[in-house]
Amino acid sequence: MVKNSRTYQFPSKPSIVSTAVAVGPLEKESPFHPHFDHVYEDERLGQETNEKGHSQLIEDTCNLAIMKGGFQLPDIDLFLGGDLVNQMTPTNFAARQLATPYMGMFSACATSISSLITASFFLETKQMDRILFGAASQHNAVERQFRYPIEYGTQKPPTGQWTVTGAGYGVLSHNQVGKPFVQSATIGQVVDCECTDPLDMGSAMAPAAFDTIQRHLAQNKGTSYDFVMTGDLGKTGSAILQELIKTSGVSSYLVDQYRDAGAEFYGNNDKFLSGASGAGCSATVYLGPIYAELLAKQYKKILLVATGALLSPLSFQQGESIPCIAHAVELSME
Amino acid sequence: MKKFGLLSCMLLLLAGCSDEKPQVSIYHVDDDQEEVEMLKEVFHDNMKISEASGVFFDHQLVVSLQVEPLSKFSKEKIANSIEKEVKSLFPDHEVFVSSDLKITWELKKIIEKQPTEDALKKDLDELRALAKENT
Amino acid sequence: MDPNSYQQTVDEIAPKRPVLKNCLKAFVTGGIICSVGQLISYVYMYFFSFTERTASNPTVATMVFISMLLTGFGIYKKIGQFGGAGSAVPVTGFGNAVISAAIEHKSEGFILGVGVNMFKLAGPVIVYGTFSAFVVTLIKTILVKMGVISW
Repeated sequence: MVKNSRTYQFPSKPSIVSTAVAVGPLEKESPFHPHFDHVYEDERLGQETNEKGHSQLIEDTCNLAIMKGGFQLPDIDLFLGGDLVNQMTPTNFAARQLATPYMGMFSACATSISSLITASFFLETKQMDRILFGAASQHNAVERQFRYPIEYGTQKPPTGQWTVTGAGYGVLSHNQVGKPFVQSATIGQVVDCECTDPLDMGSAMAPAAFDTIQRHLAQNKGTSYDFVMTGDLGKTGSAILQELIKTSGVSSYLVDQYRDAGAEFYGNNDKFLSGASGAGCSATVYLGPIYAELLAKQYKKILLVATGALLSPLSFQQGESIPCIAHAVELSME
Repeated sequence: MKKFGLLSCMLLLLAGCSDEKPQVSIYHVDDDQEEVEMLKEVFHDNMKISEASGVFFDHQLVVSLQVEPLSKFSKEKIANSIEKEVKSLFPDHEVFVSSDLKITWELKKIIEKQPTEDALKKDLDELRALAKENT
Repeated sequence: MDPNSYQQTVDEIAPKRPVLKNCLKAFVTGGIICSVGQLISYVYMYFFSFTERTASNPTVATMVFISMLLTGFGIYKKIGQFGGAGSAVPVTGFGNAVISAAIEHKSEGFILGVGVNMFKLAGPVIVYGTFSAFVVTLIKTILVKMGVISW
């Protein structure tokens, strides 16, 4: 493994061999929905609480990802995943049902990529063969965690984002021809630009994404990407990120080749204000439509940058600013 | 349709602005026109009153009044000053003045019925009990 | 990255709350809610023996009841997104705050969930409403005792 100042290459080229994406009822409105494996009619999946529904969503999606790859549960050496609820109980409880070796990951909404990076490192050691990775979020469970009760009639500003109900999980294994593989990754560092508005996460997370993209590109000079896609900056955050890229002059082509999963998730529906957010946002888009397009060889090389706001309801009530993180993974298809 | 809406809006506005004399209805059990006119004068002089009713009955006088919308905030004050005025005009009457909408409605109902002395006494007692209720 | 200069960038790019438009929407929404309330209080006065003063209590109760139904059916949050302060300030907004919290925490049981969290959002209104009433009364009492004003 070649180490060059915090951007890591994966010479064994671990491949994402199968993925599964499941979403809630509202996500049918997403332009990505043809690529979702399953759309649930009930936000809670028939469970009595939102948290149980969240847990069920994770469990079902994980099982589906394993099944789609033609594996059995005992084939999975490790399950890496996380969500946004207190102490990550939904993922923990899903792991109880799955009964595989498990490690919880928390990078807020960047968990999809942080678990992929970790999985890649584990595979590189050759001690494991198949790792289940991914992230999920459930609108009701997460909103009540971070904001107000669901039915509370408060007015969200145009910068507000809508937490996705969705889960995206994939199985990472040793290199397999015809499957997208992880080429390199940059682990993010926490960036805090003293944003304090929890209803404007996009603005808070944009500097973290910028920092990670900048560092990744600096170490991978000359590489050209079909596009760079951030996780859930939303319309506000992605506009700011584009401005940051433009003014810094890091890479001019990025301005055109830039996409954001959160801003695209619900199309141009004003109801969702600035766009989608949540751990499930980047996980479903990356492992659903983007994975499918990579498989179809529409793209050869892309950079996925998932962003996460590392706040808790307690921290922002105590007047702390919102520290953010972004992890980047370069996926290739040959 | 739009024109119609605009027109009705303007009509409403204009209707609200008209400075008509207050609508006064007074009922006197013994039909003493002199006293009725005296009371009428009190209301006609006051520009802030939009509607007033009064009932004379056995040395008792019950008055209810409604004020113009813009004077709603000083409703109590107006009612108090009217009460003083009426008391000085009819020193030998037991005067009761209310600015409550419910009392106005009830008093108007009583006036419409043109009741006999006995029925009137019962109605007015009920009315005053209603006005005294606090909760 | 310098936080100060970054905040400037954010201020330039991030969409602002349309304050004037929101004020107008709040005015209309609040106006409609209050008109409904006025109508209900007229109904109580006209058909029952309530006076203008006593009709306010049953009117408030009815408005809270309506707000409860709207909250339960998921309509009030839509009104809230449209009306903002116009739907939050009237008593229906208070009802919505209590009821939404109660619905939300039902999953933790009736004591630790509903009982504990019901006034999570509405609690501050009660606490500071009572407190400011106390302060205002105190000031008025002192002024009356000093003979500056009368009750």
